[in-house]
Amino acid sequence: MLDTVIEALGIVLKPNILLVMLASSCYGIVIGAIPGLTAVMAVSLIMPIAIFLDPVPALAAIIACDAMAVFAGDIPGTLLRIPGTPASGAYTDDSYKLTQMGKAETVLGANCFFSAVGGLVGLVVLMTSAPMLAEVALNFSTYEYFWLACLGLTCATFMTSQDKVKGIISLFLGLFITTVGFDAITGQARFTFGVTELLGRIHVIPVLIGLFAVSEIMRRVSSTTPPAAMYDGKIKHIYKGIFKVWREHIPQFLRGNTVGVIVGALPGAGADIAAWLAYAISKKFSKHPEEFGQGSMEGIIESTSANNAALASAWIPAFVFGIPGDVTTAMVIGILYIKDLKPGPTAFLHHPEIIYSVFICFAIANIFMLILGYFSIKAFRHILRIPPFMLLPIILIFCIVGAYSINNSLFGVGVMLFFGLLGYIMEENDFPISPMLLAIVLGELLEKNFIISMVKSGGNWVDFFSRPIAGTLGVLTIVFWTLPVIKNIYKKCRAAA
Amino acid sequence: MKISDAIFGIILIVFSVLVLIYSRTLPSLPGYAYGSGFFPSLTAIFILGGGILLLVRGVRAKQPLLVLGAWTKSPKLISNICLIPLNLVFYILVSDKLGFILTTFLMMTATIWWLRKKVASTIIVAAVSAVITYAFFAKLMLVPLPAGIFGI
Repeated sequence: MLDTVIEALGIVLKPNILLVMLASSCYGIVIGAIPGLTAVMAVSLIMPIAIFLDPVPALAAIIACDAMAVFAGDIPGTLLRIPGTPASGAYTDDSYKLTQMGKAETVLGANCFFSAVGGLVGLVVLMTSAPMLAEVALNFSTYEYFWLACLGLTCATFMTSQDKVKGIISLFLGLFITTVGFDAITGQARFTFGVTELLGRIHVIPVLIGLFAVSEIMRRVSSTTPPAAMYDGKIKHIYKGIFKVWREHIPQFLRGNTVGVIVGALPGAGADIAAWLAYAISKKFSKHPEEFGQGSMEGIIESTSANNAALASAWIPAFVFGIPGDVTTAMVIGILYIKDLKPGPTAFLHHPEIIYSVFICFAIANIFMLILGYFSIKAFRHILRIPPFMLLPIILIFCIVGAYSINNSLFGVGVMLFFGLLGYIMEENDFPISPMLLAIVLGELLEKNFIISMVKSGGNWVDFFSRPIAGTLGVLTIVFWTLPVIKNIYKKCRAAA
Repeated sequence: MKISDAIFGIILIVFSVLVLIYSRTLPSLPGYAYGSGFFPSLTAIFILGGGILLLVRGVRAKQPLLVLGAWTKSPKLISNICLIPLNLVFYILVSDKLGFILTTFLMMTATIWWLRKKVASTIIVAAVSAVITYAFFAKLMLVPLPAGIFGI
C-alpha cells in the first residue's frame, strides 16, 4: 500500500495537476458564489475540459471544483441571504441574521474552516472504508449488483423528491432512456427508428449538461427576480477566534460530520440532503432550538460540516460498486467510463494508484479551500459584478463544446438541447431531475445484471434473495418502496377509526 | 409555467402505451419468456402507473390546465428564453459550414446584444470570447471543433 501511496503522490504532486486544481478551484468559487448557479452546474460545465484531460487531472479538477463551489455557496447566503447552492439553503437564514448582528466574519470563517475540516473527515472515512468494502464487493454476484443499483435508485428517488409520484416517473423515464440503442445482452437495436447515432445509446454527458446547465441558463435569462444587492460591509480576519468557536461546538462538529459521511455514502443521496438533515438533527438536539432560523451558530457548523463531509463519502459507493453517491459522482462515473477505467472493486486491484491519487486530491482541495476561501470572500464583491449577459452566453458555448466533444458530432448538441428543454419543463413542474440522471447512469448496469440473474436463476425470483447480502439489500429496497404505502393505509385506517 | 398533472398524466399514459406496443415486437432470448423488450416494458408499466396517478390527481384537484409563469407577461423575457434553444438550433444547422469561431461569434453577438443593446462592446466581447474559447479547446485541449469553409 505504501508503494501505491508514494506512486500516487508522484502522480499528483506535479505542477500541471496542482495548476489544474488551482484553476478549477477558482472557477468553482466563482460559479458557487454567484447566486442561482449551483455546484452541480459548475461540475457539469467542467466536463468538456475533463473529457480531454488524463484521468487524474480530470478527477482532480472535478474534486476541487465541487468542493469549492459547495463552500462558495455559503458566501452569498451569509452576505445577501441568497444561497449560492441548495446545500447552503439549510442555514442561510441563520448566517444572514448573524451577519446583521455584525458577525459576518465569524460566520464566513466558520463556513470555510468547518467545510474544509468536514471535507478532510469525509476523506478519512473514504480512505479507510473504501478499500475494505472493495474486498467485500469482490465477492458480489449479479444479484448483489442488481439490488445495489435498485437501492441506489430508490434512495435517489425517495430522498430527493418532494412529490414521490413525480420522482418515480422521473426515475423510470431515465431507465427508459437507457434502453434506447443496442441491447447489451442480445445486441438487438431498440427505439432507434433508423437513427444511426442512437445505436450507440444516449451518452450521459450531453444529457446532464442539458438537464443541469442549459435548463439553468433558460431559467436565469427569464428570471423576474431582481439582481442581488451589493454587500457594503467590510470583512477582515475571518479566522480570528475560529479555534474558540470549534471548542465551543465539538458535539455539533462531530455530529455534522457523522451525518455527512453516512448520508454521502448512501447511494443516490448527497451534500444537499446531508446539510438539511444535519440542520434538522442539530435543532432537535440543541438546548436552544428557538435560536434556529434566528442566527444559530450550532446549525451552521453542523450543516456546513455535513455538506462537505458528504462530498468525499459520496465517492465510496462510486468507487467500490460503480453506484454514484450523488449527481457529481454520477458524472465522475461517466468520465471514468470514457477513460476506460471501469469503477468497481476491481479498480482497487487494477488501478490503485488512481484511487489513491483521488484521495490525495481531496486532501489538497480541502487545504486549498482554507487559503482560497479567505481570498474568495474578499473578492466576493467583484464576483457579483460579473454581468450575467456576458457570463450566460459563454456558459452556453461551453455546454455546446461539452456535448459536441463526446462523439465529435452535432447529435450530442441535439441531445443536449432536447434534455435542456425537458429539464426546464420538469423543474418548472416539480419533477426532480436527480433520479432521472442517476437512472441514466445506472440503467445499463441494472438491466444487464437483471437479465443475467434471470437467466442464471431460470426465472426463479427466490434466487434474487438467496445470498445474504443480496437478500438484505433486496428486503431493504422492498421496504423503502412499500413503507410509504403502508404508512398511508395506516393513516387512513386511523382517521377512519 | 405550470402544466396540469392531468396533462402530464395523459402524455405519460400515451407514451407508455406506445412503448409497451413497441416492446412486444422485440424478440425474447431463445428458450426464455424475456429478452430485449422485457426491461422497456417494465419501465413503461411504472410510467403508465405514474401517469394514471397524475391524471386522477389532476382531475380530482381541478387544476387549471396551464398556469403561465411571470416571465410570459414580458415580451423581452419570452424572447430571452427562446434565444437559448434558438442559439443551439443555429449552431446545429450552420457550424459545419461556418466553423466554430464564426458560428459562436454570431451567436454571442446576437445574444449579448439582445441582453445588453450596446453594439461596440458586444462585438468586442463576442469576438474575444469566441477566439479564446476556440484557442483553449481546439489548440490547447485538441478538441476537433467544426472547421467550416474557412478552416477555423
